[in-house]
Amino acid sequence: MEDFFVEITRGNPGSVKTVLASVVLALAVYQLILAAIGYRKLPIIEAKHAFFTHRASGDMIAVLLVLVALMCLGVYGIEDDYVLHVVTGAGAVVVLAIKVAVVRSGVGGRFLPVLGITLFTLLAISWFTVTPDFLAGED
Amino acid sequence: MQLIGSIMVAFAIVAVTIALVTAKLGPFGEDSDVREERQEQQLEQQEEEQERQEDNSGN
Repeated sequence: MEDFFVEITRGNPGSVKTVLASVVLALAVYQLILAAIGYRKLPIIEAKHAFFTHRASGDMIAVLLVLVALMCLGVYGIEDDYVLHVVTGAGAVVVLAIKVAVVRSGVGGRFLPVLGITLFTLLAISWFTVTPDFLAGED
Repeated sequence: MQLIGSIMVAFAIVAVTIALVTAKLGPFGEDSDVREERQEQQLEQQEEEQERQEDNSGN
Protein backbone atom coordinates (compact mmCIF):
# COMPACT_ATOMS: atom_id res chain seq x y z
CA MET A 1 0.00 0.00 0.00
CA GLU A 2 2.75 2.43 1.02
CA ASP A 3 4.81 1.62 -2.08
CA PHE A 4 1.76 2.17 -4.27
CA PHE A 5 1.10 5.67 -2.91
CA VAL A 6 4.77 6.60 -2.94
CA GLU A 7 4.98 5.47 -6.55
CA ILE A 8 1.88 7.27 -7.86
CA THR A 9 2.94 10.47 -6.08
CA ARG A 10 6.50 10.12 -7.46
CA GLY A 11 7.97 10.00 -3.98
CA ASN A 12 5.96 12.90 -2.58
CA PRO A 13 2.92 11.44 -0.80
CA GLY A 14 2.98 14.12 1.91
CA SER A 15 2.97 16.96 -0.60
CA VAL A 16 0.18 15.46 -2.66
CA LYS A 17 -1.82 14.76 0.47
CA THR A 18 -1.30 18.36 1.60
CA VAL A 19 -2.56 19.74 -1.72
CA LEU A 20 -5.60 17.44 -1.78
CA ALA A 21 -6.47 18.07 1.86
CA SER A 22 -6.21 21.82 1.27
CA VAL A 23 -8.56 21.55 -1.70
CA VAL A 24 -10.98 19.62 0.52
CA LEU A 25 -10.88 22.31 3.20
CA ALA A 26 -11.25 25.15 0.70
CA LEU A 27 -14.25 23.43 -0.88
CA ALA A 28 -15.65 22.77 2.59
CA VAL A 29 -15.64 26.51 3.28
CA TYR A 30 -17.46 27.02 -0.02
CA GLN A 31 -19.92 24.30 1.05
CA LEU A 32 -20.80 26.34 4.14
CA ILE A 33 -21.46 29.39 2.00
CA LEU A 34 -23.57 27.37 -0.45
CA ALA A 35 -25.56 25.84 2.41
CA ALA A 36 -26.14 29.30 3.87
CA ILE A 37 -27.43 30.42 0.46
CA GLY A 38 -29.57 27.28 0.17
CA TYR A 39 -31.17 27.83 3.57
CA ARG A 40 -31.74 31.50 2.67
CA LYS A 41 -29.39 32.83 5.33
CA LEU A 42 -27.41 34.44 2.55
CA PRO A 43 -29.80 34.98 -0.37
CA ILE A 44 -27.30 35.80 -3.11
CA ILE A 45 -28.48 33.29 -5.71
CA GLU A 46 -31.41 30.89 -5.98
CA ALA A 47 -31.49 28.08 -3.41
CA LYS A 48 -31.84 25.25 -5.97
CA HIS A 49 -28.69 26.35 -7.80
CA ALA A 50 -26.77 26.63 -4.54
CA PHE A 51 -27.88 23.17 -3.44
CA PHE A 52 -27.02 21.64 -6.83
CA THR A 53 -23.48 22.99 -6.61
CA HIS A 54 -23.37 22.02 -2.92
CA ARG A 55 -24.14 18.42 -3.91
CA ALA A 56 -21.65 18.40 -6.82
CA SER A 57 -18.90 19.93 -4.72
CA GLY A 58 -19.77 17.54 -1.89
CA ASP A 59 -19.32 14.57 -4.22
CA MET A 60 -15.87 15.85 -5.09
CA ILE A 61 -15.03 16.35 -1.42
CA ALA A 62 -16.17 12.79 -0.65
CA VAL A 63 -13.87 11.28 -3.28
CA LEU A 64 -10.90 13.42 -2.23
CA LEU A 65 -11.49 12.78 1.47
CA VAL A 66 -11.48 9.00 1.01
CA LEU A 67 -8.37 9.25 -1.16
CA VAL A 68 -6.55 11.40 1.41
CA ALA A 69 -7.61 9.08 4.23
CA LEU A 70 -6.35 6.01 2.39
CA MET A 71 -3.11 7.78 1.52
CA CYS A 72 -2.67 8.89 5.11
CA LEU A 73 -3.23 5.42 6.53
CA GLY A 74 -1.26 3.67 3.79
CA VAL A 75 1.84 5.83 4.03
CA TYR A 76 1.93 7.05 7.63
CA GLY A 77 -0.35 4.64 9.49
CA ILE A 78 -1.55 5.61 12.95
CA GLU A 79 1.14 7.53 14.80
CA ASP A 80 0.98 8.43 18.50
CA ASP A 81 2.12 12.00 17.82
CA TYR A 82 -0.93 12.71 15.69
CA VAL A 83 -3.79 11.29 17.74
CA LEU A 84 -6.02 14.35 17.28
CA HIS A 85 -5.37 14.30 13.52
CA VAL A 86 -6.24 10.59 13.31
CA VAL A 87 -9.38 10.92 15.45
CA THR A 88 -10.75 13.97 13.62
CA GLY A 89 -9.86 12.51 10.20
CA ALA A 90 -11.58 9.23 10.98
CA GLY A 91 -14.50 11.15 12.49
CA ALA A 92 -14.82 13.20 9.31
CA VAL A 93 -15.06 10.03 7.20
CA VAL A 94 -17.72 8.60 9.54
CA VAL A 95 -19.78 11.83 9.57
CA LEU A 96 -19.50 12.04 5.78
CA ALA A 97 -20.80 8.47 5.48
CA ILE A 98 -23.75 9.33 7.75
CA LYS A 99 -24.43 12.51 5.77
CA VAL A 100 -24.45 10.61 2.47
CA ALA A 101 -26.75 7.97 3.99
CA VAL A 102 -29.15 10.68 5.21
CA VAL A 103 -29.19 12.39 1.81
CA ARG A 104 -29.70 9.11 -0.09
CA SER A 105 -32.39 7.75 2.24
CA GLY A 106 -34.22 11.03 2.69
CA VAL A 107 -34.65 10.23 6.38
CA GLY A 108 -33.42 12.69 9.02
CA GLY A 109 -32.98 15.60 6.65
CA ARG A 110 -33.33 18.07 9.51
CA PHE A 111 -29.97 16.88 10.87
CA LEU A 112 -28.10 17.76 7.67
CA PRO A 113 -27.04 21.25 8.81
CA VAL A 114 -25.65 19.86 12.08
CA LEU A 115 -23.89 17.05 10.24
CA GLY A 116 -22.47 19.53 7.75
CA ILE A 117 -21.10 21.84 10.42
CA THR A 118 -19.69 18.87 12.35
CA LEU A 119 -18.03 17.57 9.19
CA PHE A 120 -16.53 20.99 8.45
CA THR A 121 -15.22 21.31 12.01
CA LEU A 122 -13.61 17.87 11.91
CA LEU A 123 -12.02 18.58 8.52
CA ALA A 124 -10.67 21.90 9.75
CA ILE A 125 -9.17 20.40 12.93
CA SER A 126 -7.68 17.53 10.95
CA TRP A 127 -6.11 19.97 8.48
CA PHE A 128 -4.78 22.37 11.13
CA THR A 129 -3.18 19.60 13.19
CA VAL A 130 -0.78 18.60 10.39
CA THR A 131 -0.74 20.76 7.27
CA PRO A 132 0.62 24.09 8.62
CA ASP A 133 3.65 22.27 10.06
CA PHE A 134 4.18 20.40 6.80
CA LEU A 135 3.96 23.63 4.80
CA ALA A 136 6.44 25.21 7.19
CA GLY A 137 8.90 22.46 6.27
CA GLU A 138 8.56 20.32 9.39
CA ASP A 139 7.98 16.69 8.42
CA MET B 1 -26.39 31.35 -15.33
CA GLN B 2 -26.30 31.29 -11.53
CA LEU B 3 -25.72 27.55 -11.61
CA ILE B 4 -22.81 27.84 -14.02
CA GLY B 5 -21.42 30.71 -11.98
CA SER B 6 -21.52 28.77 -8.73
CA ILE B 7 -19.82 25.76 -10.35
CA MET B 8 -17.17 28.00 -11.90
CA VAL B 9 -16.48 29.43 -8.45
CA ALA B 10 -15.91 25.88 -7.17
CA PHE B 11 -13.42 25.22 -9.99
CA ALA B 12 -11.69 28.53 -9.28
CA ILE B 13 -11.39 27.65 -5.59
CA VAL B 14 -9.79 24.30 -6.50
CA ALA B 15 -7.38 25.90 -8.98
CA VAL B 16 -6.33 28.73 -6.65
CA THR B 17 -5.85 26.35 -3.71
CA ILE B 18 -3.68 23.99 -5.76
CA ALA B 19 -1.62 26.93 -7.05
CA LEU B 20 -1.13 28.47 -3.61
CA VAL B 21 -0.24 25.24 -1.80
CA THR B 22 2.04 24.03 -4.59
CA ALA B 23 3.83 27.39 -4.61
CA LYS B 24 4.27 27.15 -0.85
CA LEU B 25 5.66 23.61 -1.11
CA GLY B 26 8.15 24.53 -3.83
CA PRO B 27 9.75 22.14 -6.34
CA PHE B 28 11.37 20.01 -3.62
CA GLY B 29 8.94 20.52 -0.78
CA GLU B 30 9.10 17.06 0.69
CA ASP B 31 11.77 14.58 -0.11
CA SER B 32 15.26 15.93 0.50
CA ASP B 33 16.78 12.57 -0.50
CA VAL B 34 15.35 12.91 -3.98
CA ARG B 35 16.66 16.46 -4.17
CA GLU B 36 20.15 15.39 -3.10
CA GLU B 37 20.12 12.53 -5.59
CA ARG B 38 19.16 14.87 -8.42
CA GLN B 39 21.80 17.38 -7.40
CA GLU B 40 24.42 14.63 -7.34
CA GLN B 41 23.30 13.39 -10.74
CA GLN B 42 23.50 16.90 -12.17
CA LEU B 43 26.95 17.36 -10.68
CA GLU B 44 28.14 14.06 -12.13
CA GLN B 45 26.75 14.95 -15.54
CA GLN B 46 28.51 18.31 -15.43
CA GLU B 47 31.80 16.66 -14.48
CA GLU B 48 31.43 14.11 -17.26
CA GLU B 49 30.77 16.85 -19.77
CA GLN B 50 33.77 18.81 -18.55
CA GLU B 51 35.99 15.74 -18.86
CA ARG B 52 34.65 15.09 -22.36
CA GLN B 53 35.33 18.68 -23.38
CA GLU B 54 38.84 18.51 -21.95
CA ASP B 55 39.50 15.26 -23.80
CA ASN B 56 38.25 16.78 -27.06
CA SER B 57 40.36 19.91 -26.65
CA GLY B 58 43.43 17.76 -25.80
CA ASN B 59 43.04 15.79 -29.04
